[in-house]
Amino acid sequence: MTLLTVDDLSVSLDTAQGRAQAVRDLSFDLGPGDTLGIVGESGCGKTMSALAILGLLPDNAVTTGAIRLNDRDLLNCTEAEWCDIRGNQIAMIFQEPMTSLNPVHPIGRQIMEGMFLHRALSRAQALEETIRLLETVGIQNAAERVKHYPHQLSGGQRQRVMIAIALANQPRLLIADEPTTAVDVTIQKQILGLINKLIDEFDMGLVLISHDLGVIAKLVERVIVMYGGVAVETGSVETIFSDPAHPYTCGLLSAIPRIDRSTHSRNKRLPTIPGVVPDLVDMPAGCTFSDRCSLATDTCRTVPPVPVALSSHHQVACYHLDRARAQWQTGPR
Amino acid sequence: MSDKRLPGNTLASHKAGRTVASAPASIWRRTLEHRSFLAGSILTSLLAGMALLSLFWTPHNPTRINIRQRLASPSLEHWLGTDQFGRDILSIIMTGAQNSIMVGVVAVGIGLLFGVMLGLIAASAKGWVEELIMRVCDFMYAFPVILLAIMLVATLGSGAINAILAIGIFAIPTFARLARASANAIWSREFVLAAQAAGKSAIRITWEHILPNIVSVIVVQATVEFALAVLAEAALSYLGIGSQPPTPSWGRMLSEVQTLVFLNPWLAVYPGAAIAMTVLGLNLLGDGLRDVLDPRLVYKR
Amino acid sequence: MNRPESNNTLALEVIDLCKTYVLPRDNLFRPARSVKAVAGVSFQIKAGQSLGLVGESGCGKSTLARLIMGLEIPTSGTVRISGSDIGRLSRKELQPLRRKFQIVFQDPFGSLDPRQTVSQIVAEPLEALETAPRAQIRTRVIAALDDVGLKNSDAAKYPHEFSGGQRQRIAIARALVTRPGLIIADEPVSALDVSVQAQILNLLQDLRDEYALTYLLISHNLAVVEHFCDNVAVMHNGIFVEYGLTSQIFQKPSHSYTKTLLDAVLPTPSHS
Repeated sequence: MTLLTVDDLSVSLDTAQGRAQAVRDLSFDLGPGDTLGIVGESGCGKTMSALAILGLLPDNAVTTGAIRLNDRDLLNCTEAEWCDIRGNQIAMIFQEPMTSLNPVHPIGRQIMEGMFLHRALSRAQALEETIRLLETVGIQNAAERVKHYPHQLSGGQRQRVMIAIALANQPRLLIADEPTTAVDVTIQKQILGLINKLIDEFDMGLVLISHDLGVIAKLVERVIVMYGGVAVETGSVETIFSDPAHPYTCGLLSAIPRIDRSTHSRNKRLPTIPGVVPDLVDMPAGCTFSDRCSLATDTCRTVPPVPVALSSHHQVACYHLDRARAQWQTGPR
Repeated sequence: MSDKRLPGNTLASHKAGRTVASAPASIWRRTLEHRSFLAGSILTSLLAGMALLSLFWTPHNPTRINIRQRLASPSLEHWLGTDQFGRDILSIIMTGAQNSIMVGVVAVGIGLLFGVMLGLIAASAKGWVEELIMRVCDFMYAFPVILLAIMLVATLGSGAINAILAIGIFAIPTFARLARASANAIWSREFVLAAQAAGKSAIRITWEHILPNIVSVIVVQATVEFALAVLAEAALSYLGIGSQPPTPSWGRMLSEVQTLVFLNPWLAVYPGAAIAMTVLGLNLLGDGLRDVLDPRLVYKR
Repeated sequence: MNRPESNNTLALEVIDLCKTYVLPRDNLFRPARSVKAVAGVSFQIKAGQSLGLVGESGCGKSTLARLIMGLEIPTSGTVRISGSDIGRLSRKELQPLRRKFQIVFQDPFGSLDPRQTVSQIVAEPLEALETAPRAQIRTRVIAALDDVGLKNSDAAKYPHEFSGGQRQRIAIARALVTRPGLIIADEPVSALDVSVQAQILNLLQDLRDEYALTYLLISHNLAVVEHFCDNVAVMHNGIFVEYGLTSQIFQKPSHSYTKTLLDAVLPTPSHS
């Protein structure tokens, strides 16, 4: 039984400049304990998709399609029903731990808040569980730290507290939106290790949103690459990184500087994708990537490509995927 | 050789970022959408129009006494009736607007000029200079405006000028605090650091970078202070230490009418309503300005 | 790699630089604590070379950048740019020297004044010098915009009309307009999307080749530093724990902190 099903999800926003198509026809399944990464640059629709799953889209958003959690329709939930789901069955970790924590409440209280909302616990029981939770996420002296305020903690510790809040009620699904972008690289390693350990321990589903391919590779099994609101390529991590078939994925992978332990590539120019991400209000009529793609033809510009299944684990939405694939195999890197 | 240029530049760079309609056009559109701003603008324009008109024409001479027609009810000849001396009320209200506007403009002008200057100096100098300026402002704040006005009047004598001075001086700390707080926020921005890295002096930076970025906040506060100035002038005139007779003044009308209110209650309503509408209009305008001016600076993706 | 001959002059020399901040007192009866943001840093960059400075938040790299730019006064130590000791000079004397070194900041949204046009922003370092006539300033601005891949028509626009990558180009144009020899780039690509990062890095490289620029590149992203810089310094708690050739340090790090950093970098699986 699938934990989360997203079917042809489309989100459009009514802005002063016109209608912006933030997400177009996004579909995926997630089983219990599965991990999925959504990768893309700014404006690709990844955060909007996450907010749609949690019902936290802005007022001017129009949503079509279906989102089901354990066969329960999420798009038509009332606010009361949402209050039962959020923090309980689906939890979210955000990017900026400093602004996501309330600076005037002690961290213990912020964690217990969630527990009291969804479970009937006595104060003593909640406190005990909170201390245990803090130890699980790796905070030393948990019994003392419970009374501390966010400003008394370091950035990495605050992120751990955020994770503790998310896990307070043992949700079935965890959504992590750029969880390590705001922390240093050494802390990042610890946080990712922690998330890995916890999703195994609690058997949760994970939807990880990031622009960092390294983070994605470390945590998830499957990846959706998004551009301009459309899922351009979907596949397992191994496939996407070794055999990408969409020109955007290829371009993205080429453009990342890597630590090559040789002087081979230093000071060579990085292959880039020309142009910039289009404004969501001004998308091309056909494939969203067509105005930056070197392989684009007239069909690409006028008719949006339908996803093609290259294998059971690999889907690409491109008319020229064979050429893109071939170019990658013979090209740089 | 190098692809420094973005290929397909024209198309891409137009689609990228946001093609914002020219600033004035989008402000106009937002103006029409914003009801407070519209209502405030209308009321304020009414006030200004009345004052302007009264410079050239009023239905009757506002200072002409006509005892035979005292306390008359509204009629075709006197739209709002006459007061206890037979003077046409409408004419007095219209001319009174001149007084209120003048007091508002000059008092707010004084407060704005000196207050903003002090605030900017405090923000750029920091250290003991900032502390000194702020404590002086705190000190001035400790006095209620009426008390300050009475002190000034006791030393310098009654009159419109002294009332304006008192109100203006009282407005200085408000603008100083606001300017300093806003300026401090701008000083910590990176583009100011860039200007410092280019070697610009604090004075140049204040003039070229800080001031343009705090203008919208100051303007909004100015409209609010204008309303307060009108109220303060009315209060002072009511107490008899503002503008002296025969200069028409809404506040003094209210005080003169105290004993007559049982004979003709409307005599109190007209000047009161004029004051209330002016203050309301200015507050709505200030509110609306805040929303209309700010979105221009916010870039949302 | 077609860089002009780098002669042996030192573009930047830093000798035993220290900066200590005194914190506000939290107890009336005890002396105020102080924090050593930069605790004795020394290095040199030859003209035409690039030094990468890596470190995590709080290590002191931003403070170091500000000290070198003359935006803060060091507690002790010397900063020599093209031979001149900038600590010894008054503001007036320093002013004409500033044309030789410029800075590019991290935040493309915050480092440009939203109320000024692009041409005003880019012209600022020239105008601060107060020597060039108006017509010449205009020509230099256009040339700088051209160097970074922007058009003449962009000069009259406002920053909010551009994307993040384009704004960073504007910031780079501003740094180029006085034809400096030394550019300090403080996390120039950290706030940008991956594909835009690559464009900006290429741009910086092209400019280095064309104008024989010397770079001090500050970044927390080791891959960027490894790709771009000849030498690298690893900073931790206000000092350099390791300093040397990029190839050497990345292949055979000797200090434990460097090893921890390299260890934490997530490999992007490459195809092979």
